[in-house]
Amino acid sequence: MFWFRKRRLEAALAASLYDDATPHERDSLESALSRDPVLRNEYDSLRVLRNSIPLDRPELKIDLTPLIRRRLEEVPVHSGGRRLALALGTVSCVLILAALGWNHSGKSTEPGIQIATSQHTGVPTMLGSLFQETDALVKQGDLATAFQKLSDSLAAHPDDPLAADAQLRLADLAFDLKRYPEALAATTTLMTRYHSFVAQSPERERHTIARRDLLAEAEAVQFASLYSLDTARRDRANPLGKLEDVIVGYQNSLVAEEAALDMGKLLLAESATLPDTENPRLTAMTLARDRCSNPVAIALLEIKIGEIYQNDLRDFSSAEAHFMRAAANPVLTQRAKTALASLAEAKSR
Amino acid sequence: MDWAHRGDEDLALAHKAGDTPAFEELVRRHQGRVYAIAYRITGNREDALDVAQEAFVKAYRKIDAWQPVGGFLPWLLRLTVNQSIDALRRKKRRRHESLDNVAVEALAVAENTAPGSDTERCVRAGEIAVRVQQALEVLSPSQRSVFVMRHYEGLQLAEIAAVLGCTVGSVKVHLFRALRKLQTQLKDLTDHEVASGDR
Repeated sequence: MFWFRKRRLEAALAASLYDDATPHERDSLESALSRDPVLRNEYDSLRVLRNSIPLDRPELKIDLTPLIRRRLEEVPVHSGGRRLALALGTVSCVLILAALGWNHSGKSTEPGIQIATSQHTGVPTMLGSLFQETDALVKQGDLATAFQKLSDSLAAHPDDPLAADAQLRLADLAFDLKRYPEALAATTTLMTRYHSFVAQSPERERHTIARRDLLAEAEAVQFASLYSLDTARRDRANPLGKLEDVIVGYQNSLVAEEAALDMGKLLLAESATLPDTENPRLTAMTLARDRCSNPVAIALLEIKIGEIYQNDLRDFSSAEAHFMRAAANPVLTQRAKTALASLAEAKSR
Repeated sequence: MDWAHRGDEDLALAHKAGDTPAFEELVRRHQGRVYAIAYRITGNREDALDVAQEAFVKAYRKIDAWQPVGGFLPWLLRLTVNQSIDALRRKKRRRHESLDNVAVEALAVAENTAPGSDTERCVRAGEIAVRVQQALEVLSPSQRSVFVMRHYEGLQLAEIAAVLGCTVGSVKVHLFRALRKLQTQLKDLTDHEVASGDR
């Protein structure tokens, strides 16, 4: 009986602390508190505790929608429809890139199969003969099977003379399949285990490092930035608007730069503008900036354009003009100042 | 279709009928709350992100089991709490969580919620956030869930009972025991508050 009363009193006390007690609970609690100074003391100290615990809410800094969409897509579906969609998507990406006729410094998040060309030694090896098969699968759009075959063979023949090349292909295929965690693991393995192979070619090295940086950066947000970029690319109604959202949403990231380049490519495809053959990135970034309506996106692209003038074209006065325009936006003032400081340093060298 | 002005139940019914954009509106609308609950129960950002996504994935797949009579949000929160408790159990098995991690995340929460405040206040808020998050780990999963939903999310006790599928009386007892444990864990903190009030 005592236990039951005590429990009821505790329940009333907790409810009262959060203003959620019934009238009956309030009455019986008031009566008990007036009789029992120990209980009164406990009630008061629990109230102090309740008031001491801040009500702040942890902020969710990313949109979960693309991540959830991704998880829903991850259900193992072996329908012909999905494979067909994947194949069509891959082929269309390759065709768009080929039609545009330029390759922006190996940083693309689009299929990397062109860059991942192997240097066949002419010596027949287990992996060498597999490459023909996987190349054919990639051409058919069956990237998943190509990835699995490469992965299995690489595990079975880790000392094959073409193991490094296979690892590069594996990393690119994982990326093209949007299996970003696996792509990051494969790229990291490539850079650590096959470092000399990567360093053999400057283009390959640039591509691998850029890819690793992009994935490592995206990993911090569970690859949400890359999934958002994928979603924006797939958007049929308003891809430019969605890409601009990615630029603003992930403004300090490599993914934002990818989104800007994509905007540039789309705009280039629909306009009569000819890309600057010396620096297609500059053309893409300029087109993207002109199309953006969000002031933060515009200022961010001013910085990117300034960086191209500074680093690629060594045109310091143009770089400065772009940085100054970016500095006028309060959100990016600090970043623009950093860019101006870096420019001053470059000038003095 | 303009989903932004429709109620949760309308959206859930539309999703039940196969409308994916309606479900995405539900995600956008409730992701902050779902994440916050998951964060408070699991105690770290990574698990909370995972739990929040999994709760929505479950909601998507199990929408046929949802009945409009109970409302959509309590059902979604129930999925969130269950996922969070599962994550806690898994974590208990792994036991790899470091206090440093908790500290960094709690400080980040304090910084986010006290913009423009002076350094001392921010540091103090950070300390409290760390202590509270550590203290929450002492609570049982049920106590923690009840406390998080009442204290941080402001749900009524009857709503919590609906979310957890138990009686209001049980919710009150869980809440009382949670407060008691927190009182022990945070005694020095409340003493400080009392002393500050006396000055």
